[in-house]
Amino acid sequence: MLKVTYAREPQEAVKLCTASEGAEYKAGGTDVMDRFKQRTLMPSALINVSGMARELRYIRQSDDALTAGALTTLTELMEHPVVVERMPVLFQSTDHTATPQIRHVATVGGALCQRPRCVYLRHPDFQCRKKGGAVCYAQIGDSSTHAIFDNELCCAVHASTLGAALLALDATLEVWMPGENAARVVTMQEFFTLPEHNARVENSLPAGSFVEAVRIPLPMGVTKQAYERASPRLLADWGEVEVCAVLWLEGNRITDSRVVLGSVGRTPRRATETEARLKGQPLTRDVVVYAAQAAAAGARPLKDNQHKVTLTNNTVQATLEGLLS
Amino acid sequence: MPKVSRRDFLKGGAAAVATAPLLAGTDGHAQDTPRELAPDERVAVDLTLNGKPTTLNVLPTTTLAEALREEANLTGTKLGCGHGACGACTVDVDGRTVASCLGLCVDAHGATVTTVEGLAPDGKLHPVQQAFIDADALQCGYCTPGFVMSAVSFYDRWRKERGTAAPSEAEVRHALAGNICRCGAQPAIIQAVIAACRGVRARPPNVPSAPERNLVPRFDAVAKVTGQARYTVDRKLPGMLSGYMLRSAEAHARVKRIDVSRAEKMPGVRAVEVMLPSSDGRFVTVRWVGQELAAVAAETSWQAEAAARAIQVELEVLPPVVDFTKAEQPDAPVIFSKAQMDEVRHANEGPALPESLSTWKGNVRGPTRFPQRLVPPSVPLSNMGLGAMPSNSEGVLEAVAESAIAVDINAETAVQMHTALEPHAVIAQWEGDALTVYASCQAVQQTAGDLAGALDLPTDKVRVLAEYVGGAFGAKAMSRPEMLAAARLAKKTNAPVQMILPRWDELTVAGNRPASRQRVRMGADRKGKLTAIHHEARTYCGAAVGEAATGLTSTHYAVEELYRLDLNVVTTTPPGCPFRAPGFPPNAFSLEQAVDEVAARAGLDPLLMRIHQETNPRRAAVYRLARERFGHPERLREVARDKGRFVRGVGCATGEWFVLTAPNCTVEARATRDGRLTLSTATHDIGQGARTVLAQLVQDLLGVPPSRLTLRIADSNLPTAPFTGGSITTSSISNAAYHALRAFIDELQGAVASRVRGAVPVPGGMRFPDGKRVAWRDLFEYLPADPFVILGRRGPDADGFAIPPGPLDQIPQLPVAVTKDRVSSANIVEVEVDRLLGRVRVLSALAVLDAGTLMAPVPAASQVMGGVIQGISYALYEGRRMDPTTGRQLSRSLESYALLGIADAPRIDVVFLDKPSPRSPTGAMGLGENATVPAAAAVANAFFHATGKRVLSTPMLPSKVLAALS
Repeated sequence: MLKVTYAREPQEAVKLCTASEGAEYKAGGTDVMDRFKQRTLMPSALINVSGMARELRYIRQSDDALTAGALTTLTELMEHPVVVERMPVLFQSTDHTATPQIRHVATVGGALCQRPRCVYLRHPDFQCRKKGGAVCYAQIGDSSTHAIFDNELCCAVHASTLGAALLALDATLEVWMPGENAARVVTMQEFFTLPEHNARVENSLPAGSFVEAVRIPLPMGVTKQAYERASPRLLADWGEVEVCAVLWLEGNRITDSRVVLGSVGRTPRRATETEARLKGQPLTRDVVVYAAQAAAAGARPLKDNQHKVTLTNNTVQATLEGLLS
Repeated sequence: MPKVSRRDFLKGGAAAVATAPLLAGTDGHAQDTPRELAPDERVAVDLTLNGKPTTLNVLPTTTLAEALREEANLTGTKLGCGHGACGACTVDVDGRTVASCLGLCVDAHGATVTTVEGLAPDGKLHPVQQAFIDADALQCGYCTPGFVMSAVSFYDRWRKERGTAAPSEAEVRHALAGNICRCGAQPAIIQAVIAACRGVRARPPNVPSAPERNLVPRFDAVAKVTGQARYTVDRKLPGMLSGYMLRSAEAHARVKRIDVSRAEKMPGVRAVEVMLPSSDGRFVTVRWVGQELAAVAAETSWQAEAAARAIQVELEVLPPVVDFTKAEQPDAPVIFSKAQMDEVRHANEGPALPESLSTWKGNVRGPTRFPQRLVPPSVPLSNMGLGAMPSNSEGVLEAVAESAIAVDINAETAVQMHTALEPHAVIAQWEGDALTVYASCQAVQQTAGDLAGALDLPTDKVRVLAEYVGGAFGAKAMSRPEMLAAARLAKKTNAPVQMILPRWDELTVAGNRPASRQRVRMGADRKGKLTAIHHEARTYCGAAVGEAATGLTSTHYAVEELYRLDLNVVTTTPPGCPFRAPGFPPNAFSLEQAVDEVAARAGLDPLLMRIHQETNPRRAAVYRLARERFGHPERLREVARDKGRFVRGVGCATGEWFVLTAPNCTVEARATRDGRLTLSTATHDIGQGARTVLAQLVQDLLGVPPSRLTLRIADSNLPTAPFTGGSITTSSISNAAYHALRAFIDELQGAVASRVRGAVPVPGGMRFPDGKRVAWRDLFEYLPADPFVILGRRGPDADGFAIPPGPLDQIPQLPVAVTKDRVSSANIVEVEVDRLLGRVRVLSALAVLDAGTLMAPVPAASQVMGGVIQGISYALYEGRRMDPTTGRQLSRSLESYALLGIADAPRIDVVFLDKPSPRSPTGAMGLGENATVPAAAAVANAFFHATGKRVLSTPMLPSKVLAALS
């Protein structure tokens, strides 16, 4: 049984959340209610923020960006004409996230701040490092779906497909932090820069922070964008590897790129070596195959997820090949 | 106009009405201060529910699904997984489908909510509901309301934007990707939705039109598409208590003490029962995580759970044995000692012979020797799949080695979970010394007998009912500890007690198809004629025994040299139990890949190669039919050459199954002069269509339409019927009903003839002196009595049975017999392999089956599609994840245990060899098991055809695919 509190504006939500140890926000509820019902990673209290829908469920378009309130649903985001037309990587990745029933209620804020789907984390009888324990059970047990990067402390992969897409699009967040009187801007790169020696968190925000909105710059110039997911099932599955790619082109020459890998590390991460191999090159099959072979550079797979190294390279190749015209 | 909700303070018993509005819902009320709700404080939520303004009084954490089911009594909204993965709880909120199991009811304040009950408010079905019926897009029906809600949402949008254009299959798949069907109705669902959008009448895929036969639609389809079908989880009895089972968190331990005294004093708790097999002070060993320790009954489920956590259990933890290989090592802890042999459970449907007949070496059990005094010598035991007879291993290996083609294959299959969408559920209620049990169950009479035995009651004091069952697949064939717990708690509390397994328990303790490791060595001559098979199988039933994975090998090919060995390796993991065609799909996965390898090496069409050496003409006919239907058999022989990202291949595999029947199965026919007919028998409809089998027979014999027919089934007090498993049902009930209806016709004919001079029987009825032909259905007014009741019993086959053999006069009392028929099947599937992402997709599948006479073509075709879907799912996705150290199961949800989704469901072409069994009057044989036997092997063979490589391990995940291709 849970105590439930209703917050009516972000600053108040932060106050309520920080006032109570172990309290968590509930927006769409698709993650937190799941954990509550499975009796694992249970919050001590819920700060129900869905009542702020009137204020925080919006998409605003300006000359250079799209801004979505935190309570915008994934469906609303992906159906926005600017997303459909100018941000295909966001459209495709969101369209392949979870299921229609989930996308209809899951929110932008919740999708970014959801907890990982690690089978040990979501098992009530394993007191792993994320729960304050001393052991990462996946490292010594079943690590088949776990991280191949940054996996020494904890190897649960970040669950947010949206986060990967927003990192590829260089988005920023407006975040209310505890004790502050205004929302501040946090880049996706900052959001995904984890504190050292802290296995418990999946982003850099102080506990109790509230993401109010996400600002997505409209891609400038000519871009090609794609999303690809390696998963056993075609839809309604978690990715073993996800790739969000944005290429900036002049003619057929790649002037810049952001190739983001999801489901392979504790956060979505850029495949910097791949990006380097693409820069200045023509968009040809040889170039993308060569670039893709560097996608998993630096990976350190665990006992059961060796295949994710090849799969990462292959998924990047599949994504980029999809952009060859 | 903004609504202001009321809050009722139920705390402290004082009902007061406050005016502070609840900050929730879509109209976003203002409020003065943050509202904090105590966990047990009820809130009034106003919403428009199925078109009517409604107020639901709920707790702040009550989900929308719970509120709809418990407060609004709308049980058409089902709970499947409980975490948004299965879609059974799909409802429409403000024009969008949502998973109501994850949404809070308070957040629906002010919203417009539509459930499946709201689609046909005046009894007129929504076009989508009608299309589901017409296409037979459902089986057990448990997922159906959720699918219908998703489909209606898609239909509404489609009609608005595209009119009556036809949506593509891909569009429908994408829209319905949030719904899971375990029975495997996806191909029919897709066709139903397309037909509804086009505004044309849907047809069941794969049901050939039969102009001479009036095909009956699924008898209970209307109840299922409207959400009116009541499953065990939907029942609510007055004063019903919630039961909760405390389970072991350790895989291996001795229970030294269980102290329930603290739990008994917890709020709301009414009774606590220790559930160990023995509570007389002797230490009891638990052997798997999830094994039952104690059960609590309380006023709410939260109270029961909290109390269960307060039970103090003192354990002496023993080393777990989880790893299959380590379990066999000499230093592995022994899980069952000689003195504990009576604690060994059986995981299969085979006879539970005493363990003294088996060899035990540490944790390895087998082979089992069947004594001649138990089985007459005339019975070819080795043909029964009941475990191997030791024979000449070295001789067979030599024969293989000397063969022109010698194949050696090591295959592995993972543990598969039944995953019925309705979990195991039970309600027990006492009236005096009589017990009534509602259970999600496929064996009401056996369960009644088991419970009577366990509770020391006469059998006639226990009644078990299972009106609707939301999937079973074998896991609901046996009585379960939860049933006994509910009965004991209900007795103690003098109130009905309900127990429903949460999804994680359902996935953990409710049964599974055991894993296997197999080695098949096979010899053949240059022409592909198989000469020798050496098959060793280890099966891993957890803390149980009995699985055999070489049964198919024993009969499927006529070879001169055959050796097979079945060993069970015991571990401290949850016990397996019968799962659709026990042992045969894993067996086919190795055997049929070996045969495919022989064909490839011989350069032969694998199906033609089988036909050439087939000695059973019916089976050869099935294979020929498959080849003809497939159309371009030359493709089966081609070698994969394409090296692009996507490569395609076709593969085939074959299978077979027993024809079981229940000679003592009895059907009562009861007719009244007003034209109504009622058939009664204790059989079950778990989605396979037993009701429709009876309704079609009534239609065929009497011309009585379903609208005049009442079917009473799944009640242990009704005339005898077998448990529903092993494909026993149709051969049993159809023949029993046939005898009842034939006798009924004879009586009716006599009654008419005695009153109408000159009336003579003609096919389908009587001809009156004036020349008018009157069908049997229109002659009920002549019945000799009102009501008129007559019984029919299944009885023996014309030429007796394979088991038991011998005099027919003993047979009518037998609960189960193995007939001399055998059914066979062939699958051809086409796959596409994504060589980059390691993903295998089945593009299409052809299933050809011998099922004897098709008693009910509509559900028969659906059941075969379902069997193929389950087989594909087994091949590609399903594998239990278990922590290798602790034995704690990691597959606890439908995210961590993946079933095939609608996006991956292929088109399936089903063809029957519609030829009666010569042995029984209806000619029915059976098809449920046979439908799933070859599918996984066919997928694996198609993969080989596409890539030139083999994946010899299920599930064929990207990791294994990439390894095979590298």
